[in-house]
Amino acid sequence: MDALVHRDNKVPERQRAYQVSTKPIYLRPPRSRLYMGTYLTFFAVGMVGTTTSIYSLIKGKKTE
Amino acid sequence: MKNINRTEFQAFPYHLVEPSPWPILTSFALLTMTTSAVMYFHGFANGGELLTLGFCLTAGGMILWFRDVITEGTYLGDHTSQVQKGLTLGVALFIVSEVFAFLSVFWAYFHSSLAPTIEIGATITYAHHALIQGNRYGAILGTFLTIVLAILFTALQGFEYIEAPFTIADSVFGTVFFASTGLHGLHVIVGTLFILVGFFRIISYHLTDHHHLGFESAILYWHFVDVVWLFLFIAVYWWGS
Repeated sequence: MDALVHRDNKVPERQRAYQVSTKPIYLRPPRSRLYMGTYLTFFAVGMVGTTTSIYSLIKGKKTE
Repeated sequence: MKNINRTEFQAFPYHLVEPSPWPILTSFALLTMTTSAVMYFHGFANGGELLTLGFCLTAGGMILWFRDVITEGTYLGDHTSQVQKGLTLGVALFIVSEVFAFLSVFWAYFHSSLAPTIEIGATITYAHHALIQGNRYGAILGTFLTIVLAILFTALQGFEYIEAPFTIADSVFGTVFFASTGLHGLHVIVGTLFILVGFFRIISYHLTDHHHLGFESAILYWHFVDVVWLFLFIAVYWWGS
């Protein structure tokens, strides 16, 4: 518990770094591009899946 | 102040948000989740896989969206006193809508008509008071104990579901029992995650004795879930047994 209580406070330096940056907020935290890229890849798979799903739901086909 | 300097400062206390990808991405993630849930329930091919993906996309979108809100509040100073008032009102209205969601389940139960109980409201109240008094150790300890008890609650509920002699498809009692305790259980899991975020923000020095809206909202939500449990316990486990 002591290690958690006496941890370094990094908020002031992060405030300076975040406020200087001119990037959009969703790309400002560390590793944002990696997270965004991974998310959008899975999102694209989801959208393709949803489109084909809606088609098979309308057609009423239970197997491809 | 000269006019040229005046233009560099915001003349009002509100937060004008920047364009964000999360509303549209989360909306479509929810579309994926609900469409695939229909597929899964009706036995269509790949419904289960797509449902898992939809759930992960929704959860991922929420995590990255909330990360941006934390950035705005903690690092960019966008959450002024006025903005905090609006956020608090939003949380209160959200909890009122939750009250009505549970009211409908209770309505179903009373119309038609086993027990883990833990006092987890006490430890979170201790943590909250410790935070306000600037007692970092107490805030961390109280929040940590709350999370441990919350996980214990969910585990006991899980054992109860496994051991129950009836299923959701057995009688009106079975249906409403699993619908109401399941809805409550989901809220306990969400509340646990909500407090867990507060815990990590306390140990990262994000929260101060006078500015900790996210944590306070988690506490409010937690008390709500606690009160619902009291009603559920009286109605389903005590009166219903």
